[in-house]
Amino acid sequence: MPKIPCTIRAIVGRRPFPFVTFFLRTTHISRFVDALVDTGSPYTVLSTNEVMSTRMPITKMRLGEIVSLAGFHFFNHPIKNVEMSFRTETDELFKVKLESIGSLIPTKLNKKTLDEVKNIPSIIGNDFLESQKLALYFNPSKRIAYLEY
Amino acid sequence: MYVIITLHRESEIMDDSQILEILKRVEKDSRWLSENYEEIQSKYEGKIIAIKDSQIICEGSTMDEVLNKLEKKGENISFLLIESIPPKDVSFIL
Repeated sequence: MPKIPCTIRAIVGRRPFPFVTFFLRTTHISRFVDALVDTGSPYTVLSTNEVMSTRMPITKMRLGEIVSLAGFHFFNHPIKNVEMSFRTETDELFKVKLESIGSLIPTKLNKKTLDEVKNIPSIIGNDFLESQKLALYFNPSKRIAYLEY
Repeated sequence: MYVIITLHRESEIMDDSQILEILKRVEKDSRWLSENYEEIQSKYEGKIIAIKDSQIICEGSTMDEVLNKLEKKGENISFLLIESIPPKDVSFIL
C-alpha cells in the first residue's frame, strides 16, 4: 500500500514522536508544516507558532470551540478552504482538500502564555486519519514511522 | 490596449512538481533536525529557529523576531522549516 514517510523526533521528555511534513495552502496562506501525528488527539490543528509564522492577526482569531491541550486553553479557530499536500514514498503528491483546519489560539494572549505555548506542535489528529482513511505505522524502537493509505 | 497584471504570491502559482521538490527539501531539513536534535537543543533551547538546507539560518526568542530577521535576509518564509526548541527541563503531555 502507498506510504507517506514520517520522521521520528525525540522532543519533550526525549521520547520519540512521529512527525509528517506537508504543504498547506489556503486562500490567505501557504506554508510547509511539520506536524506531530497524534492518534490520541481528536483534532487536527495548526500550532499557535505556525499561525504566527503566517502573520495572521491572532488577536482577531479568538473565536471557536475552546479546547484544552497540555494544560492550556485555546480557541480552535477554523481556517477555511484548505489544501494539504503530502509526499509519498514514490514521490507523488497525496492531496487532501478540507473545508477547514483548526488553529490553536490561546484564550489568554499575553507574552508569558505565548512563550509557553510556542513549544506545542501542529497536530495531525485521528479525525484526519479517519476521514482520509490513513493508518499510522509507528515503531519507536526501530525509529520507523509512516502513514499508509 | 489594456494590459492586465495579476500579482500572485510565489506559492500560489506553484505547480505540483515544484511543491514536491520543496517538500523533499523541507523533509530533508526535518530529518536533519530530528537526527541532530540533542545537539541543537543544547545550543538553542527556548529559541525559535529557521532551517534551510540542513543549516540553522536564523534564531530568536519570539516568532516576530525570527520573521523580521528572515525578511531582512530576503528569505521566503513559506518555504522554510521554522521550529521552536523547548528547554530541556520542560515536558508536557499532549
